[in-house]
Amino acid sequence: MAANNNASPVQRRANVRTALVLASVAVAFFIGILATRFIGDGQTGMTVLGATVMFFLIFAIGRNLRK
Amino acid sequence: MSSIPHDHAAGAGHDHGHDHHPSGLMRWVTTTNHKDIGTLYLLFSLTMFFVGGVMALTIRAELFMPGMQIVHPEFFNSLTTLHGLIMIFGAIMPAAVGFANWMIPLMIGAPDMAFARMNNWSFWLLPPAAIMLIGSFFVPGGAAAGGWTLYPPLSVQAGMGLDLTIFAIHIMGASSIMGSINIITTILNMRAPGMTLMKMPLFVWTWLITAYLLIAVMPVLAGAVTMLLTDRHFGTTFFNAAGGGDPVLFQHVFWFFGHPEVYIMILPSFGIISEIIPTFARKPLFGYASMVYAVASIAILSFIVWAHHMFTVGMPAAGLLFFMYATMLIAVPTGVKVFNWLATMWRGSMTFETPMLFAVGFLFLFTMGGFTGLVLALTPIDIQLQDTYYVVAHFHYVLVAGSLFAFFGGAYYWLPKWTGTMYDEKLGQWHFWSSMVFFNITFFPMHFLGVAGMPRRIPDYALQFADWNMIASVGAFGFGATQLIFVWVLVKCITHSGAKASAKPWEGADTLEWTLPSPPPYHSFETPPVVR
Repeated sequence: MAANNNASPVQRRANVRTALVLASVAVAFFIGILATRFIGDGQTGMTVLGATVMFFLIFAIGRNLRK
Repeated sequence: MSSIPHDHAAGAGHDHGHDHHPSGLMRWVTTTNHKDIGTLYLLFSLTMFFVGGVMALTIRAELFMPGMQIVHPEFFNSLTTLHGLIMIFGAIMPAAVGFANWMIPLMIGAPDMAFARMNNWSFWLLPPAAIMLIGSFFVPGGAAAGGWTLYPPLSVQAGMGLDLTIFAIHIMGASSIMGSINIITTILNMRAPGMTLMKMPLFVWTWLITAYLLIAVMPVLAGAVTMLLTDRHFGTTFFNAAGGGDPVLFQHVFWFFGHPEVYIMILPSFGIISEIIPTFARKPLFGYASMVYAVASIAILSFIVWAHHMFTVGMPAAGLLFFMYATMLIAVPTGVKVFNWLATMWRGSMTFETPMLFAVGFLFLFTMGGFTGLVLALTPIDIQLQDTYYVVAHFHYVLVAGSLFAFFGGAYYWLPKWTGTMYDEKLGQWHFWSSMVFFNITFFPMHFLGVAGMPRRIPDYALQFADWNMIASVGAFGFGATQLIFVWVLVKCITHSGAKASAKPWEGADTLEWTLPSPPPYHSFETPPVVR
């Protein structure tokens, strides 16, 4: 993962930090979907995952709204 | 974001001194420039559109008359499967990413994407995946043939072609996730000073939300196909009832990805339409904030409606009711968007150049697709129409007249900016009107076929369906031929055989990209513009 060469070191660090958070979310969903097999029935697992996604979306976008 | 005064002189002026870049083939292989990568995505998607289109025409040729004419049933099933996979993962999604790569940095005043080399890698993962997908036709057992949804138990029993499909999906998924991380990081961290989130062009907003959707659901698809792979080769029984697994679980997992995927394909189109309509109505977008909240609502709701794709698997009545009402709820934010687009046009000084024609065509046909979606949301009706041509008609109204028309509109809108040459307006109008007519000849009769009970994914059918099938096939060939006009327009623009485009060829356009010359310099906004 090479950050944009034009960016300042501060911005590059911020970019890498954001990317790592997003990548960890993707990994969590990948593992989470395998784990849903073991959390009650399919619908329960999906609902847990769906709710997590929803709150994540609201939080992630909401906190940036005034920036 | 109808009027943003800004100082672009510093940004544009600074660019010319750095307008050097590698040339030849290596320029395209090693490029880290967002404009080059955007072009690569768009050309790749156009190529795959024609590959998937040839498959569609073969399907329609076989269905021209009842009986078996041209292909074997097994090959027909592979064609329907690969047509779906190629159009979704090879044509529509890369086209949307192509628009994002080209336009997001220009619209937010950023010099490039946040992770330029990862951007190159995201694109170059796609051709091997496409080769794998198309190459699966030539392996023993042929390509995947159980439909693009890859439902077990059929997919667990399929040949080697399905393994190639799974690996292709993994690779394309990785590409999408990397692309999304790049897009979100660029939007959140690299906007020009003064450009708050609520000042961003709506296209950027729709992509921000789409990228979040991608990060959330592509790993889910990857998980589903990984489980399928281990069921096939490593003795697990995730989806095998004989070993304690559940085939319906796959459907839940798949559609947990699959329904947000529909919005992944349509939200960037909403963004493009939201740029085109205000420009040609010469009015600011009506209800900007409500448009943003509507897109966010659609994205959130898309996570809680997945089971409307599987009403017939046998769910408790409470489940059926929940998914039915949740699905109908999506009509509210979608209605807000349609209302706002119409209100933007209301009393505007409208002109109907090709981008606007495609936008209005989108509005009309996508709304029809939305209405048939509401019909299908009703559980009792859906149980009747499940797996019929009504469903085929519905999603083609949403994805062809929705996504594709918006992409054509966007391409005509930004072609002057991308190439520095105005497209041929007369050819553009021919392209629109013939697409509009042939699209409806192809897909409108499918509603009748579906209501009459014709099942999808079959190479032969009862005599009663013959007339409408013949009309649909004629329309499909007309629609296919019409797309060659677009190629002609494109070639003319790329070879600069047309009038030179000014920096801002559209009087009503006011986003940042129009402050740059056409075509924009290779390195743009190295000094960020100031947005007030």
